[in-house]
Amino acid sequence: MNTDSAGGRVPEGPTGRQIITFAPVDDATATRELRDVADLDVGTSRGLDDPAAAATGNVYLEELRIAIVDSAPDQLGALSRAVGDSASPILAVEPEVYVYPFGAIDAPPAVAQDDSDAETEDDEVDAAETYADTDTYTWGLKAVHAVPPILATAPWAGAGIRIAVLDTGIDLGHPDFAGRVIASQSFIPGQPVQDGHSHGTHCAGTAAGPKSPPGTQRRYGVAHGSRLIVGKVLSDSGSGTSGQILAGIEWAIQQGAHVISMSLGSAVAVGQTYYTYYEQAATAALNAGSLIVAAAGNSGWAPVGAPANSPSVLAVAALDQALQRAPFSCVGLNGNGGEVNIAAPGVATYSSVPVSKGSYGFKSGTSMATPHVAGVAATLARKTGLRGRALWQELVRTALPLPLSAQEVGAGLAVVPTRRRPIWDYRPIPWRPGPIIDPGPLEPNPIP
Amino acid sequence: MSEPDAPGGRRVHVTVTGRGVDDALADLRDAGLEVDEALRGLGIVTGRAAPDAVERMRGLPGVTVEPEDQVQLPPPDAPVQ
Repeated sequence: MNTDSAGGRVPEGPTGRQIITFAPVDDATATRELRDVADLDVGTSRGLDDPAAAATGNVYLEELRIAIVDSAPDQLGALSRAVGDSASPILAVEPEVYVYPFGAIDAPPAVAQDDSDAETEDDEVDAAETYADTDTYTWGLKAVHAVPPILATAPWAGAGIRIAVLDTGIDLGHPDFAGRVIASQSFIPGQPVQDGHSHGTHCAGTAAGPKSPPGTQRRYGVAHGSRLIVGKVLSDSGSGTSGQILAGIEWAIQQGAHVISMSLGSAVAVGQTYYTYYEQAATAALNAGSLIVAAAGNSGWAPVGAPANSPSVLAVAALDQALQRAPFSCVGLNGNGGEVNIAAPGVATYSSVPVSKGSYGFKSGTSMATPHVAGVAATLARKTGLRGRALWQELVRTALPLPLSAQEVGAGLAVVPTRRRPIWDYRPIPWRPGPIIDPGPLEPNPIP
Repeated sequence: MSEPDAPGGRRVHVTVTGRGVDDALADLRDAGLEVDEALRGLGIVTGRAAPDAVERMRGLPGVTVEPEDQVQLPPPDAPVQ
């Protein structure tokens, strides 16, 4: 089993509940069978609207033809007997277990890079350089070293790390996210997780888009090995309340998120301090091993917004292709948490949007910079095993300094940890004994 | 923004420090908070409270009362998100 989770706080083994799998029958037949066999009452799936039902109550998941029930020993016996009964649609009764991703070995890095004009040192930034998208990578991926500079490799893709994106949801039907979303939940009454705005799908793509997107040649996701936890805390029209955001944070922590990415916020006046509730939520998250990164805000030369202005939330500024602060990116005018902590690409960012809106598109904003940092944090968490406050410190420590004030960009550009690759990097040929060739009797060298 | 004249008062978030949410819940209800949700993992209670109830809650130990905040993203095609 994988033990990537911080301090073993994720429980292991059986939960005490049973998972019952049915043959292809309709919902009524399946639920009737449960009632007849074991006197168990199950509602239909309320998973999208009521997270508690999926976690505690007896539920029947229609799409899967699976029931999850809390059964007494005699009920379990009756259910188990039904498995052997050919007349019963019950196929299997198995214990529910706590699950989390297996650790995966990061794929070997691609040898050929198409960015031969990128910087030649992986710990320096050339201020004169201007990044641009290529056919195969977005400029943001190159800037944060998700596409490594030459003479380096980026072996960390965030495998086994869970990134929660609290936003307008996600296009669950987008082929780029097939198998990547391990949990999703809407906190907007009457609206499913499905992203009707496009902001959430764009942000999730930047953080964790796939290594080889099926619909485009251009890779745009930083931590392509990580998994997504998607909380819809903003409506399809882009509005939300701090209450919905808090509920989303609590849920993301419960889901075991290692990084929580929040490309959202509200403006804050000069001299205004942070909200106690956001700070308390961020502290609870850090204590649980979840790092919250949030957008600094797009009000220009104005204070970092809320919740990014909480001392325990990592505030992210946006950079343009020349690694200059984007003119809209908010700055540290208020102390006590109101500082900018780190910066990342946030201008002309190419990422996924809902298929109904064209599948891919460009957006600009500190909202786009934030998931770049979430992705970098995931790779660092994977590489170092650090969580929470320690991960924050490592992220800031490894950021590349920029020739700009900390008020504008904090510690500088967030980057994926890379390994130096020697110029003479070659594949060693293993030695193995060859056939022993007997040269036969040797002619003595003639002596002249 | 939040509706100050809504029935039950305006929407507030109550941050509880130094004790558990469940411990504080009865006191908050007594003070006049209409509880929406108790976020036990965070130590925060969301709900509605009239101005006099807010004043009463502020007198409780380890309790911070703040108004709910609103977030609004620009439309999907706005130049800056």
